[in-house]
Amino acid sequence: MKERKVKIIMVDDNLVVVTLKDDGGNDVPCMMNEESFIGGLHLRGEVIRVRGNEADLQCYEDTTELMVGDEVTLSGSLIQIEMGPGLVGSTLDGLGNKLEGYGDFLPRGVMIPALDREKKWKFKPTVKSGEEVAPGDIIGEVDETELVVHKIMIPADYPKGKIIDIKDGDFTVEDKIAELEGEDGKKYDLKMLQRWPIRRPRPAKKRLQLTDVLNTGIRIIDGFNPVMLGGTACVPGDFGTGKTMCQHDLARHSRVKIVVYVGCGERAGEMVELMHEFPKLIDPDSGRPLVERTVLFVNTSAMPVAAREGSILVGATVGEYFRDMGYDVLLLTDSLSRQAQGMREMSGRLGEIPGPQAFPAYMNAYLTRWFERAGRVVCCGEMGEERFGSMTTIAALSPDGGDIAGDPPTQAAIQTAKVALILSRKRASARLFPAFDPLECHSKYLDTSTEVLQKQFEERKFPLWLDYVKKIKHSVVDGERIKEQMDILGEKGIGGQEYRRYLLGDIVQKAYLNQNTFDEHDRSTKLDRHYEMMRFMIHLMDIFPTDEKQAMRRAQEDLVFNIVQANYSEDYKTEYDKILKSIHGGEKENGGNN
Amino acid sequence: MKVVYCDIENIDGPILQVKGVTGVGMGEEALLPGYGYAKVVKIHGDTVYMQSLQGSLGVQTTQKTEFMGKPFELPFHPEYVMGRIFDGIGKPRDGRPEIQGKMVPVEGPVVNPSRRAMGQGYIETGIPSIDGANTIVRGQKIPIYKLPGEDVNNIVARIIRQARVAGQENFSVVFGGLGLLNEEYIFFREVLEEAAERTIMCVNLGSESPIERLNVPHICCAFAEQLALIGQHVLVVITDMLRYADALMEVSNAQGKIPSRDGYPGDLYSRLARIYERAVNFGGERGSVTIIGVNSVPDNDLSHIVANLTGYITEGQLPVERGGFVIMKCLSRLKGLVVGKETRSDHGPIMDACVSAYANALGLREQKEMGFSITDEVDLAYLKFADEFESRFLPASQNLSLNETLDLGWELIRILPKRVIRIKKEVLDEYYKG
Repeated sequence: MKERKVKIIMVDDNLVVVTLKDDGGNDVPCMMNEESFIGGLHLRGEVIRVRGNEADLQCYEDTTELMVGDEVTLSGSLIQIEMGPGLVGSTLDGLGNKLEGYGDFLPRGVMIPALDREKKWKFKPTVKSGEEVAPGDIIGEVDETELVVHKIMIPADYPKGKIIDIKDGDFTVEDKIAELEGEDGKKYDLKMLQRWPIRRPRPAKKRLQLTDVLNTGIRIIDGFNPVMLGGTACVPGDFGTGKTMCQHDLARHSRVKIVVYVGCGERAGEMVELMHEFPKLIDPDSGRPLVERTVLFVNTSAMPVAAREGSILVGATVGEYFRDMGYDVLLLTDSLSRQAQGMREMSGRLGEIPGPQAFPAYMNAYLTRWFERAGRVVCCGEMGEERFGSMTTIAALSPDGGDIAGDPPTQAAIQTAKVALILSRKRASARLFPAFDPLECHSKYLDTSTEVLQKQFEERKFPLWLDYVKKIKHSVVDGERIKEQMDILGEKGIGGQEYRRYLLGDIVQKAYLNQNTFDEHDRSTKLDRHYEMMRFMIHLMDIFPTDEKQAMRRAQEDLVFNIVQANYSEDYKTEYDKILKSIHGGEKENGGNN
Repeated sequence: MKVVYCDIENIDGPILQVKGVTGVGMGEEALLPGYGYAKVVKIHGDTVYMQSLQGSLGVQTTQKTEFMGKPFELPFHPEYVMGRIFDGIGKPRDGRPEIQGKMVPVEGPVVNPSRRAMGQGYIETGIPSIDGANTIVRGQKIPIYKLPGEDVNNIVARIIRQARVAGQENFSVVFGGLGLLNEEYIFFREVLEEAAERTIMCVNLGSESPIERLNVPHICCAFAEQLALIGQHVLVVITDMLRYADALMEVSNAQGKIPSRDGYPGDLYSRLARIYERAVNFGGERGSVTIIGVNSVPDNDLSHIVANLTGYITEGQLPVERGGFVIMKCLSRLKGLVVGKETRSDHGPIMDACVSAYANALGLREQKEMGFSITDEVDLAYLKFADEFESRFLPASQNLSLNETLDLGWELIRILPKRVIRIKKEVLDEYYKG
């Protein structure tokens, strides 16, 4: 459709209503979700409802000073994001504008493209002129950062065809690097820049079962509640329970190729932290700064509400784009609740009949559809061997009133995501971080993918992984149960053996589940060290001596202290040996901290 | 372009409708001659919906309306503005003439996140629970939660009086009062007059229109932002943000919007965020805006929707009970940026150890109260620690330097045997000396 001009007849906050008649009284056609430019400032908007001769638009920017009668341009296309070399390491707003391009304050109606138009990239073709290609096929590469080779693909919405005149050398993203002679007889210019509508999931050849586990470095996730590569997880938690810290830790330590981090309607300060930290923080595996594998989308709580939706959609689109190159991508979103609340605001303005707590009836379906963009796939393309890529989605939720059970978006996320990592106020107040509640969290993958997990851990030479997890988890559950009894009956009310089991569960909580994000060794645990640690914990449970309650408690306190110190050290094996020896050696040594 | 319209078509609470209007923009300021001011909140065809800042008591259907062609603005001048008192419309309420200066928007544009600097430097209040355990970083936003029956005015006054930025002269305080009682107004006016050269006040009284309250936080932030841009470090203290939320509910309901939780409007989060997110550290030669918002919490229930959303927006919380901070529920999210980096290296470990020991002691005290006898010597040490901590560390009525606060922490922790203190060995060995 071509561009059309219409006029505003109503403005209510970020809802703008236009008449679908031109000045001559003729009907003006319009498309659902059409991108529009509103008023003299060309504020970005989108058609979200059409009723007879009126269309409702959500405006992605502040509508101050808009007037009835102002002109609106219907662009004829859906809202798209541009993608290509230069995405990695950049900081974009919820609509894909490059934030570094603006001054101290964000002006309205000014679009700054995500990709630098001047910068030249070294394009190395991987196909020759004359070769047959299909959508998704890789035709060349660019070394985008030390960590990421950006694959240039035939855009997914182009036809099959033949490559003509492919070049080699330094080009900007808008330069023509080759031409495609399509099956349809038309010729298409191929550039490094391509666009995709943010509401449409990018296609894949095939969606696959998940077979591999994501190594996050966080023990309570990797051990108790594994997330599969290509899987989904949600992190609901009241404020102050460490939700954002968890997202940051995942962005830092997860072993994936690309991290897409979406700050959706949350504090600016947190995003500033990432922006300042990631260029400096070094990924221990590659020795390179984390910024070289990260794309940041920043929509802060003070920014217009509709752009929250933009941010989670552009995040998913960019994640899929890197997935299509054959990479493992982690999409982190903080927080999905803000998008749900944004939907609620708009729904109210549209006068829709509200569901629970005024959230719209379609919210659940919307969140499910968004989570479903995650997955492990065979990427599009027909050349060479099959390419596998994955996008794992982990979304934080901020329940209103801290009420996890009663908050509709949180419940929707828990139902949809396969892993629920629930943060506990109690553990956070006790300064036990990460404050995931070991009894409330669950990973459905443990039930549904047990065999796949077992096989996978065997391949990695951790054959007893799942058994260890089961034992350690049992110890926590057991300990909590006994603690509940003790709260009622007092310490004297329970037997020595039970007291011992309570103490063991407590060790697991304080020394295994508790992880110090500020310590360079403890903050992230690789799978091999994690395996050793579990083996050690289980050994400890077997040999922890039965004694009088007082003595056991003293011994336990020392043990917790020493294990935590071991967690802080690089050479954990020596520390473990020391601890085990001290137990075998009886009461001669007292933990060595005097 | 000023056009005057006659007649008000509809009066619905504070929302007034004028018909037959053209050429008026969203958010525009409207003057109701002889009555007050209003802000355009919705335009439908030729009907304009205005939110009257003075409410609607006594509005006549023949009231004239003059649209000013621009959103609300304030005159600002970095020197003339000091020591002045304004009302909820930004007009002087101290009987002195209007300021001559450049006009700045009350609700300005959003700060570009990529131009924000990391929080840096801290605001010393002299209160150990804040400076030691919950250090407030420049550019931070943090609420003080209080029970409705609790009086935190003394604490707020103490913060206004004692607040300082280590090594910085260019520090000022902007005080915002929402629905202040007359005696509160007089109290705070006296506190602020003590340091008129570095303070600004913007106050809406309890006897005045609640709708005006919606402007007060933004006026405070607009002044603070301007000062920060020219290198000042500004502390904005606003009391009480619950009244802001209540005013918002009133306006929202009058417009027929569907309430979300507890009757508050669905955009409460976004509206509160628009205020608190104006806290900023510009970095370099320029200054910062730090916001402390006092927020009443009905029923002492921190899950109350206003407190809860504030918790999500702000960077920590400082609940007050019986004249002191409830240390177990206090949190400053940004303290890690300065603790141990700009302060003594033992700052983090000793404060964490104190709080964690206090938590443990509270658990024991609970058991004791339930009738279990506490006989273990370590447990008894914990209980003693708790008593001392409560009487010497927690009271807000103090003015200690940060190092004095840390030394006090070490003095108290020595009540406990060394081996139960969860502090890295090197630090413990250096400072415990017990």
